[in-house]
Amino acid sequence: MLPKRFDQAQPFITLGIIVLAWLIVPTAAKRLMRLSFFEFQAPLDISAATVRDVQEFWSLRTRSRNELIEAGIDLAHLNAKYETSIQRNAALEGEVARLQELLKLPSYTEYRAEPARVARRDFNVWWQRMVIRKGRNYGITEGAPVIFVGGVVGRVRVVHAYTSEVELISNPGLRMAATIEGDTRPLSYQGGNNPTFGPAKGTVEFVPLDVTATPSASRRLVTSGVGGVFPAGLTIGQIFRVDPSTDGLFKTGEVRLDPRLDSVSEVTVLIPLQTD
Amino acid sequence: MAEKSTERSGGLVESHKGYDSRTIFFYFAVAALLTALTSGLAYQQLFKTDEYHEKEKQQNQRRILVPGPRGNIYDREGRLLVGNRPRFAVTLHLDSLRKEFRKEYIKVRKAYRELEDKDIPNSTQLAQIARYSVVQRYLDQVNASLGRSEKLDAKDLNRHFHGELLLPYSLVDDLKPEEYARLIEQLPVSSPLQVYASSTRYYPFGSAASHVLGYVSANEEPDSEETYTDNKLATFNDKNTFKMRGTIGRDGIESEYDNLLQGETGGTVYRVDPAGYRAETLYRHVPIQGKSITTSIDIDLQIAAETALDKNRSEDDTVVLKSAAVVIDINTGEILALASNPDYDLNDFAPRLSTEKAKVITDNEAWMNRAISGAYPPGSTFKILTAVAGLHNGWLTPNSHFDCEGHIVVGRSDFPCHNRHVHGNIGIRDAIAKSCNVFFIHYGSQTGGEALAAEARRFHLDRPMGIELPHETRRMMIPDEVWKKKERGESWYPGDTANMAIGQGFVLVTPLQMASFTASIARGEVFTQPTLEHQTNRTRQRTEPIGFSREQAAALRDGMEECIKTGTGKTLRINFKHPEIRVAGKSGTAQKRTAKGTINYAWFISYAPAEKPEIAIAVMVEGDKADEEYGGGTYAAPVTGSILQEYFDKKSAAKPGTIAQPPKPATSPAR
Amino acid sequence: MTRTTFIIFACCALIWACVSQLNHYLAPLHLSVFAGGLLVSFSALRLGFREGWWASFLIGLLIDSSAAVPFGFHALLFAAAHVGVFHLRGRFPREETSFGMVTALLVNLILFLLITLLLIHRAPTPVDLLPRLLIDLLVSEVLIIACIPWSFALQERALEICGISLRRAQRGLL
Repeated sequence: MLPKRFDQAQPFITLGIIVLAWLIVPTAAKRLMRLSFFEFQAPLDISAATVRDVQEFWSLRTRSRNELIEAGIDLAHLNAKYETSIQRNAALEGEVARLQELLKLPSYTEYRAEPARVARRDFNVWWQRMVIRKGRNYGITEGAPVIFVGGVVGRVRVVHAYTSEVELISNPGLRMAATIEGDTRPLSYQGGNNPTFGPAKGTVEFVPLDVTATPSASRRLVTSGVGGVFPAGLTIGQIFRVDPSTDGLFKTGEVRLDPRLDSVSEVTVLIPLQTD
Repeated sequence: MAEKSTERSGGLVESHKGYDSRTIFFYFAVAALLTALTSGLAYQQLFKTDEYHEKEKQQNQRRILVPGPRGNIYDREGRLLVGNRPRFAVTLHLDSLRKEFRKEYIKVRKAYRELEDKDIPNSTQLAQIARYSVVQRYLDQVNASLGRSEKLDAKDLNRHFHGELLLPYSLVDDLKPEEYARLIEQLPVSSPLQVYASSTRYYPFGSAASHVLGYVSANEEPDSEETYTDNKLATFNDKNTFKMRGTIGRDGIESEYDNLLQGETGGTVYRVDPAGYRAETLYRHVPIQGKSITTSIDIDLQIAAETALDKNRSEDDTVVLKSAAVVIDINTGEILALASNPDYDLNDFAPRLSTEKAKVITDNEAWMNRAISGAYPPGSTFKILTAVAGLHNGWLTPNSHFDCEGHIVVGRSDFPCHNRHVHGNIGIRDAIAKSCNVFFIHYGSQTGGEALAAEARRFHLDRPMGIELPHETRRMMIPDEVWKKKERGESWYPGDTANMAIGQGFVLVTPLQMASFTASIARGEVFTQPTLEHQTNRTRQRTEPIGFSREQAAALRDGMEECIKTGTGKTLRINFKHPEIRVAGKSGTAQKRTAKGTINYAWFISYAPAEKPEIAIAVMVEGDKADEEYGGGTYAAPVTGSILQEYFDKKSAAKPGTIAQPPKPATSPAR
Repeated sequence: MTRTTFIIFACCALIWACVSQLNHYLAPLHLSVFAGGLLVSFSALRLGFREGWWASFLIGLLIDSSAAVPFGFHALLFAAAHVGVFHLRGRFPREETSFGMVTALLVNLILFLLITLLLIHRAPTPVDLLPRLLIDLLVSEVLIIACIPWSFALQERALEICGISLRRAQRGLL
């Protein structure tokens, strides 16, 4: 029989042994376990998202016919506008292709747009992620840019069988190349702190000294297109403040992200098309 | 029981009885030793604490110094002449790869053992192989992102690892903007690979004012002094310091104001483990940019002067003639432009000057700032000083006349007049306008060599001007009898005075001196201190007046104005299209005998407006072909015209109701 | 691992799913609740060491699977919390729900602080995070107070439905 003192310490010793054992578990095994656990809980997220959709459906069912008719009319107007835009875009794309051919310019990377519903948002202090309801089953790839009506949402971090995890641009761990609208010099954007009840913010570094921005005259920060992941010209946010750094080389700035990013429920994943 | 007790007591008594009084010395010895030990400990603890603390710090702490970026240099209107351009590199922190090095080491060793190779490398070699392999893997990652195929230099890596472990190791330097953007997007935030930005000098106007601004180069001095505001960074010895290389001004303002422009060194103090790897950050201080300087240079005038000088080229139009131009604000002495040809593109120096480009500069003899470092005979422009000396000493009056027969004999020398013209009976005004040698040799000889030299010295033509630039020559020369006797062992002859009167012979001046002299003449004073520092409300300089009467001053001015209107300087108007502006000037063509033959120096000095002087200009162009005339009117006066045109164009544009053009830098900072 | 472990794990997974959904709705406010204490305290107070330990460890792994932390981060923290509470539980009225609440609050606070310490290096400006951390902690603790009776009841009833009676076991009847 073990002495009493050892008996008391046994749980701690066991814990220590397990911690050590965990550290030497092969990475592949951990990865497999992680995937298994994720796939185990994925149906919970999907179910919850489906319940939300049903909720929304029933809440819409409570609307009066007149409201629905009005919404239908509004939608028809929007559709008409979009129809015109689509035609104009097609013409412009043709023109761009013609000019590219004429000037022997390399063509832009082309993307396939894959719309997806948001299953779960997880915006805590340390990371901002969301789970979307499409994964490998829709050909979503890791690192693919994710956008929404307000601009960039983030980047696909992990792809699962039926879901994908998206790292948001508000995440301090996400960094991307950006430019100020109308400028070509690349800057470095990185997600920042996200204060409670306030808009999500990011920081921008390597801002040229001639750039100014104030809350009343903010500058639109867009994707540079030269970083290799995001196509050019997508809105990241508004630079509302720049301060010169003490070394006098650059300025650093603060970026206000689109508030709709916090409640986004429908996103589009841009899947780069393989070109030979 | 009682017996036993007694026995025991007896035993004790016995032992007590056995006490030896000599052992007392032993106690004293022990006590003394203990006291010494205690005192020693107390001494170490109380008095040597700081020393040990310092030693401990030296063993465990390392300091990384990052030089602060240099301050900017602006022109008088606040336009950036020299700034800092960011330079991006992708770097790797080797000290954060310790685990990877270890893993790789084990892998490599295992691989060798499996091969059963007898020539298995020793542990140091294995460690090097492992390090190379790990770092090359990171470089491959960068190559894959950038589409490059960079290779690692094993020796360089080894040197960095052993000598500068805590400094970031640069894998690819001077990244293009799209490359740096790609890396920013593709490298994880926590990756040991990071994009590092350093600064390098950036010159928006390229070669403009290159000699004034100067250049910088890497500070190679290992024990160069750092500027700290913080003692935490300062208390280290060199063995524990890793220093990122800064720059030092080598010429021009960069050199002269190096102390001011140098940024404040920042840095980080780390605690390191026994192997030298970073353990924790103890202290961090951000480097601070150096002070900025606003120069008196007006970049528009500078560019105008340089462009005009560039037009003076060799016959085959391939080589720019050696030349210089100085523009000075008459009232304040501020230098508005100071150009020297040939020059060089300052952007070639950033980040470092290539050997090929250095050779081109050397071959072109472009290193020299001819405006301050070149001493040349002033030729006929010196006649103004002769006139001043004559008027001042009473040998010459505004109404003096002399009969020019086309030549004059002084002593045993026969001096021809300018272009062998016969000017006839000529007064001071026409003599200046037509640059009559005979007139000035006559009155100069009357005034005398000593008086001419004294007058030149009064105008500070015998000494450096003290401008805030390095390498101002001391070879300027105002000869006199004493000097000639001392230096040449010869007597002073009348011919020497005659030569001096027309700016030939031994007289040597710099273009800067002539500009200052012209400004002084325009102001009616004897000295104008030139300066490159701009002050918004700088007051008018006041020095000793020349001492002219109104008539004397008018005679001199009229002569110089006439030179522009009808005389040798009328070519100035080719490029100067403001007929309403009165200009006073004097051309000069000096000759100097060299081994190649006689070289000509074309000069032109002027000031404007003649009635209320604002700027003074001195231009010198050196002929490139021996025994060929390069007249001041032909080569130097048009340059002056271009500078005046720019000055008065700007002035009229700046009048209320007109909009000044924004500055147009030649280049934008490459990012 | 016994049947008890899996039942508790399933209950905790359900609780965690609910908390996740709550976080989903709180996201627009930039609020996030952490309910580590809620997940660990029941098994640490009421179950046997191994059963409880495995339940805590597994739920930790479940959280890790979708969190941006090294896999095993929450699992090891939860396991450590379990060991700590288990070691001390004999000295307190561990069957009382009110004590369970106090334990859950304390465990949640300690875990929250530990996670903050371990992840603080990720924040670009840690000082600016302080208000958000305080608010998140406050809301999390309020959630624990509100949910602990339900959480304990859920786990206890689930065990009872499956034929496992903790009360009888604690009285030595099983």
